[in-house]
Amino acid sequence: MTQNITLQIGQCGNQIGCRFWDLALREHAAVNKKGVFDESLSTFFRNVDVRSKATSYFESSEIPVGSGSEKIRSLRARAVLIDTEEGVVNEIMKGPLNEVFDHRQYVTDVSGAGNNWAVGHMFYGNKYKDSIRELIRKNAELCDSLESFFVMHSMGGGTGSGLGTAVLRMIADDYPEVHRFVVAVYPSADDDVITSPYNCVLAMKQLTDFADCVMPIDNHSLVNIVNRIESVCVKTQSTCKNTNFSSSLRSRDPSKVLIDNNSTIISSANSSSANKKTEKPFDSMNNIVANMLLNLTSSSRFEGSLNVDLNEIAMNLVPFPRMHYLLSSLSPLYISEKVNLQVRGIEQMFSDAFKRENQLLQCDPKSSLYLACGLMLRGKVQISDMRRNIEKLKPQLNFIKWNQEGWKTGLCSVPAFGQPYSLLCLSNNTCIKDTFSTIKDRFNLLYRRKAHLHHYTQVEGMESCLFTESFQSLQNLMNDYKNLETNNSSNDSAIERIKILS
Amino acid sequence: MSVITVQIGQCGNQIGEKFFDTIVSDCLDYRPNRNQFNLNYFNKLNQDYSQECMERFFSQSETGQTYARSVLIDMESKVVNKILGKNQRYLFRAENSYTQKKGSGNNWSYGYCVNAPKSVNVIEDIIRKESERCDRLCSFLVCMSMAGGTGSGVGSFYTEFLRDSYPRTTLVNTCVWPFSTGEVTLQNYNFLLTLNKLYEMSDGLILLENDTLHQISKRINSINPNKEITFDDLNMVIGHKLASIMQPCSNSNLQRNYLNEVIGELCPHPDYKLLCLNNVPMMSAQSIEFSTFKWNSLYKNSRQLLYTGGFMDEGLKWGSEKSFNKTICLSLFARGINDSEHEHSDLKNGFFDDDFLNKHFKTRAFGIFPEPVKLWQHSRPFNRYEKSLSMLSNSQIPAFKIDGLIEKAWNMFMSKAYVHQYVRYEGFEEENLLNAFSKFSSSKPSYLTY
Repeated sequence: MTQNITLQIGQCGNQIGCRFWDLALREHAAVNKKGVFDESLSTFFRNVDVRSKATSYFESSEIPVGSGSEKIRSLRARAVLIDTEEGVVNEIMKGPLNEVFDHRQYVTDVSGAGNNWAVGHMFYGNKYKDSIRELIRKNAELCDSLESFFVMHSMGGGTGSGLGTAVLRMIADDYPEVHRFVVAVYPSADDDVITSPYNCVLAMKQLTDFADCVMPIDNHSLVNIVNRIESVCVKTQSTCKNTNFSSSLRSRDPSKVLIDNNSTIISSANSSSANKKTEKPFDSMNNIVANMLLNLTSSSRFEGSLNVDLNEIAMNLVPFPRMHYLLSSLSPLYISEKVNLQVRGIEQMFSDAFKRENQLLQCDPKSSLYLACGLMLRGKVQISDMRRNIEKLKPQLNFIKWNQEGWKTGLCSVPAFGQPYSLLCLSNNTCIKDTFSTIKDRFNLLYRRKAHLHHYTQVEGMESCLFTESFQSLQNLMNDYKNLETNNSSNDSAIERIKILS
Repeated sequence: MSVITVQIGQCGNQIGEKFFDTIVSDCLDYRPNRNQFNLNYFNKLNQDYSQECMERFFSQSETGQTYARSVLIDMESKVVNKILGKNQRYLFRAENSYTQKKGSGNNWSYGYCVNAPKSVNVIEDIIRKESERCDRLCSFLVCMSMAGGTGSGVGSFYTEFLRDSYPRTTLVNTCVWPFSTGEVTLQNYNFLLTLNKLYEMSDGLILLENDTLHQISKRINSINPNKEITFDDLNMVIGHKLASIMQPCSNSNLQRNYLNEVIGELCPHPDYKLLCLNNVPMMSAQSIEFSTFKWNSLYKNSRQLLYTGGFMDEGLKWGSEKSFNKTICLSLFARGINDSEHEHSDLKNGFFDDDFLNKHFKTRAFGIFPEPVKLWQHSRPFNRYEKSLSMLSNSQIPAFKIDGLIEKAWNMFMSKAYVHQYVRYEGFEEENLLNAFSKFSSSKPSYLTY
C-alpha cells in the first residue's frame, strides 16, 4: 500500500490538518481493534519506538509494517506543519495531538506574512526553501512508496496562499511523479481580509500550473452546512443529553485517552469533568473538510469490491490538464457523533449529494455542465444500489456530449465512523467558472485603482507583471470552461470516423 | 491436459477466485440422487469426472494440499492479499502471486507501458514454474476486465507475452465489460486499446457484460427481494458460466487438448474471434428443487437466445425475425442425464432448419464445416442443475455493441479529452490511439456486413 504526506500551511491549513489527524485517529481506532500496525495505518502514520536509544531522530526507531501484525508503539503522523507565526503550531503541540507530531516536524517563524502573497511566496519562500525541502525529503524517505501529497491551505491569507504555493511549486519540481492534491479554502464574499482577491488570483495561477487536483472549498458553504445541522439537532438535544452522560461515565478510565462526544480527544489524566468542551470555533467546519479527505482516501486504505486509488481519481476526473478543479459534496453531513443529519435512506443520500446545499463550495452543479463525476461510497452499500441511483440521477444532470457516461464509481466496505454508509461526490463541473468570475471581479475592483499594490511590489523578487499574468491565466481558465459549454450546445455534426479505403 | 488461469487486476482476481470456487463445489458437493437406478454407474462417472477436473485445474503438493493452477497478478495488494488469506478446500499458491503498490490508475498506457514491463521477469518465472508442474499444459485462461487499468493494460501485455513465449498453447481471454451507464470514465479508450491488442494475440475472446450479469443475478436472487445484488453475486454467475464450458466432457479425456478443439472450431477465421456465452437455465437454488427440465425445452430456449441476441431465458422474445443475428459457429455443452438414447444427437441435428442455415449460417459460405453445431456433453449433472445447456457462439451480437462503444471513444478522442493522461507515459503516443481506431474501421465490415 502507498503512503501519503500532508503539508499543512498557514493558520487555516494547520487547523484543518489538526482536525484531519484527529478524525483519522478515531477512524482507525474504530476499525483496528487489535492495536496492530497494519498497512492501512501506514498510509498516514509511522510506527515509532520512543524508547530506542537512536541518536538521530529519523533513524532506527522506525518500525516497518512487516507482516502487518506488529503492535502499535507510538504513532507519528506523516505530516509537515508550516507557518510563519508560532501561535497555531504551538497550540497544536500543547494540545492532545502533540504525541502524533514529532517536535522536528514543523517549520515556524515569528512575524507572519501580513496577508501578503508576495511576502509569503517570495520572502518566506526563499528563506525557508532549504529547511522545508529537507523536512519533506526526510518524510518522503521514510515512506516505502509515496503516492501523493495533500496540501492544505487557504487562498485569502498570506502564508497559506503565498508560502503554500511556493511549497507546491517545490514539490512539483522535486517529486514530479507524486500526485499533488490541494485542499484550498477560497475567500467568501464577506471575507475580512481586504487583499484576499489579490492573494487568491496570484495563488490560482500556481495551482493551475502545478497542482494535479484541487478541491476548492469556501467558508460560506461550510457555515451554512453547520448551521443547518445544528438547527436540526437543537430539536433532538434533550435525548442527546442522556446519552452524553452515560457514555462519559463508561469511558472514565484515567489511563486511557478519552474521546468525548464532540469527537475531540481529551486526555483524562488531569481533567475530572469528562464533558468539558475543548472545541474551538472553526472545528465543526473543519471537521467537514477532514471527513471529505478521509472519504477520498478510504478506498485506497481499506478493502472493497470496487477499489479506487488516488491516482485513478486524478486520471478519470481531469479530462484536460488545466481543468482540474473538483467540486466536492458529502452526504450524509456529519460534524460529530452528536451533531449530524440523520439520513433516511440510500436514495436520500444520493439525491442530497447533488443538491446545492451539500456542496462544499457555493455552486449549483445541477444547472451546469458535468465533465465527469466521481462517486465514492463507503459502508453497507452494494453495486445494485449504486447502479439504481445512477440511473435515477442521470436524467437530471447534464453531461458533456463526449462523456455521457462519465461516472467513476468506487465501493469501500469499511464504513466511516458513526455512519452505516456515506457518499463523497467529486464533480468536474463548469459551474466553477462562476466562482472564478466572482474572484476576478473583486480583483478588478482593487486592481483598477492600484489599491494596496505597493505592499506587494516592494517585496524583493516580486514583479508587477505577475499580476497581469495571473489574471490572464485565470481568464484563460474561465474561457476554457466556457468554450466547453458553448461547444456542447452547438449542433456540429460529429466528425466522421476514419475509414480505410480498400 | 491442464489449464493455467492467469488472473489480472481486481476484476480478474475476483472472478478467478469464484471460478475455482464453482469448480470445487461442483466436484465435491455433488450428491447423486439416491433413487437413481444404477447408482454404481453414476458414482463411477462422478469419480472420473472429478479426477479429470482436479488434474486439469489443481495440483497436489506432497502434503496433500490442493493448490489451484493459477497465477495472480495485480498492481496493488489489497485484493490478492484478501484472496490468499482465505482458507478453503483449496488454496492459491502465495508464490504465484505478484503485486505492486500503486495500481494502474485506470489508464491503459500506464498499465501497458509502465507497470507491466516492470513485472515481466518475475512473472515469466512464475508462469514457467507453474507450467512445469503440469504434466501437459494445454491452455491459458486469462481473466481480466477491459475498463480498468491493470486488467486492460497489463492484461494486454501478458496476452502478448504468453502468445510469444508459448506459441502452441491455446490462449483464451475472458473479458468483463463494465456497466454501460458508466463505471469508469476512461472505459471506452481502455476497451478500444485492449480489443486492438487482444484481437491479434488471443485465440478466442469470451465477452461478459456487467449489465447482463446483473440481470441474471437479480433473477437468481429473486426469491429474496430485499437482498441487494453485490459484486460477489455477479462473480458467482461468471464462475458458473466459465465452469460450465471448462469442466470435462465425455468426448474429452486427459490426453486430448480439449480447449484447443473447442476454440479451434469456434474461431475458424482470424477476423472472427468474439464469443458469447449463454447458459440455460439460470435460476435460484430454491427454485431448482421444484423444477423439472426437459432437453427439448432447453434446446429451444438456447436457439431463441441465439436468434434474438438475448442473455437470459426469462423474457425471451418469441416470434421475432430470425434474421437478426447471423452466426458463424456454435458449440453446445449439454450436462445431465439423457432421457433417451439418441436424444442429444436428434436435437442437435434438428437445431436449425435448412432455411436458417442457408441464409444466416456463414460457415456454409466458407465451405469448411459440414456441421453447424458441435455438441459436447457429459451425463454427470453440473452444479446442482439436473440438466443444463451452455452455448458458446461466434455471432454478430457483440459486434453491434462494440461498434457503439468505439463511436463513443471516437467522440471523446475528437475533443482530445483525457488524451494527455495517456500520452504522458513513454512508449505511447496519439498515433497508437489513431491506429486502434483505424484498425476497427477496417474490420468492422467483416462482422456486420456479411
